[in-house]
Amino acid sequence: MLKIKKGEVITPYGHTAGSFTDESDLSQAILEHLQTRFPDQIEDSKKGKANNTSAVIDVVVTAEMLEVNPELVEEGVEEGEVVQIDVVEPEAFDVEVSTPEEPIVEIKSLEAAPAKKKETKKSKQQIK
Amino acid sequence: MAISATIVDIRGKAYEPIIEELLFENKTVANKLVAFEDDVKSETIFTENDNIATMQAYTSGAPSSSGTLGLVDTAVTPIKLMFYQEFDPNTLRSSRFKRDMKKGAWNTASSEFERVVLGAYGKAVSYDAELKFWSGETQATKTAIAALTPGTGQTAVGAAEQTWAAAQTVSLVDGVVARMIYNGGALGTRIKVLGTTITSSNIAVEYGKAYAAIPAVVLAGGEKPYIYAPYSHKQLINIFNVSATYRDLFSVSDDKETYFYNGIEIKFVPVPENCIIAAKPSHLIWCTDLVSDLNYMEINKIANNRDDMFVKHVFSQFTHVVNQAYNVLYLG
Repeated sequence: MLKIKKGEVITPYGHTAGSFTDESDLSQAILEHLQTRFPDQIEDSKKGKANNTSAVIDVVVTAEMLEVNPELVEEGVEEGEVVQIDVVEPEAFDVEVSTPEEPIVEIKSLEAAPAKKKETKKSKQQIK
Repeated sequence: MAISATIVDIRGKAYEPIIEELLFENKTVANKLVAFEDDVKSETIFTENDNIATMQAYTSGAPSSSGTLGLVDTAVTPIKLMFYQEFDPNTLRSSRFKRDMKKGAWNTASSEFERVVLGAYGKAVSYDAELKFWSGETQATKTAIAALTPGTGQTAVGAAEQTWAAAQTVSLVDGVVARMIYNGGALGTRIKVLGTTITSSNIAVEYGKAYAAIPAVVLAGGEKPYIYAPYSHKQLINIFNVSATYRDLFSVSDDKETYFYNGIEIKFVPVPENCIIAAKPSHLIWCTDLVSDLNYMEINKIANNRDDMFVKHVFSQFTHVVNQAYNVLYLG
């Protein structure tokens, strides 16, 4: 199923006409046509989902986690803070996914969940 | 409210010209690039005649009728439209425009404001009317085109045509492109050409596709067709010609004012990008009550006991496309 990539804006007939975004309600015939003109801005959503095995999740930093990842200490991250990590295959880890009301997951198996992406100080403040 | 101004109280001098925004001149009207049918107040009938002559073997007895004398009437009622804004000239009292206001507290009318600012507004009105004549699309037509089943054949709406219809911002009138796709409550019988994004590299190839689709009888007739193209194609053609060994495919006059493709004159009008129309000018009709209505702007006080004013244009407009089966619509 084709769709316009998130964040892309397609203006196929100039600025006197309108533009399409990922929120435009378009038929597959129109999307197929747009794909011939804008191949980089249209994606097959099924294919995209199959290839996407990464996920960014929020975790609460524990003392053990700081011990295993000394670079977090260097960054000034403290126990109890929330950081984002990018896990390649989230289902492979022993994680407890939170409910929408409680958007935090807690990593129980630290060794299986290496922190690949650390948040910046700015984003930490935003999380707080 | 009409006056949206960042005014500096005038002291000393003001740079004389007021810098106006750049607008395309309405050449469709000024140069009569299509057919104009005015005095169309209401319910004017346009008749198209399409005959089939069928040769048959002679018989000395009772002959049988064969062939068709086809007549199709279309009743056209132009849509009445207006542009209307109110403004308070008192807000200009401290501005540069005070210089030509007459003495006396009653007087706040500025001839410079009327001549330059309202004059430029009039050009914007005229351009908008031209834009809608070519590229307008009503909500009803947008919905109708979206509901058609797309296909590659001439008797089906093209995916590109549906894409254009979906992209177009809704307006109060249908333009030429919309009428070619959807006309008289059904798919138009235009000659459909599937295009792509036109660049300076492929412009000759893409024009070739549209040119090849023009019925030979259109090229052979007395009235020559035009290719109607977006303004940007002038630049793309010039760039293409720079690297062309022989510049006879796109021939351009020395003053870069007149452009031809394979002997057909190109007229640059506000059609959408990646769109080319090839048709005789008499096939595209701008129906209105009075063509000069577009140039008439009424400026007056809103009421006798008030000093704020209005500027108003009133005109009627309808785009009618005839001989649909001979008109080429290229859409990328």
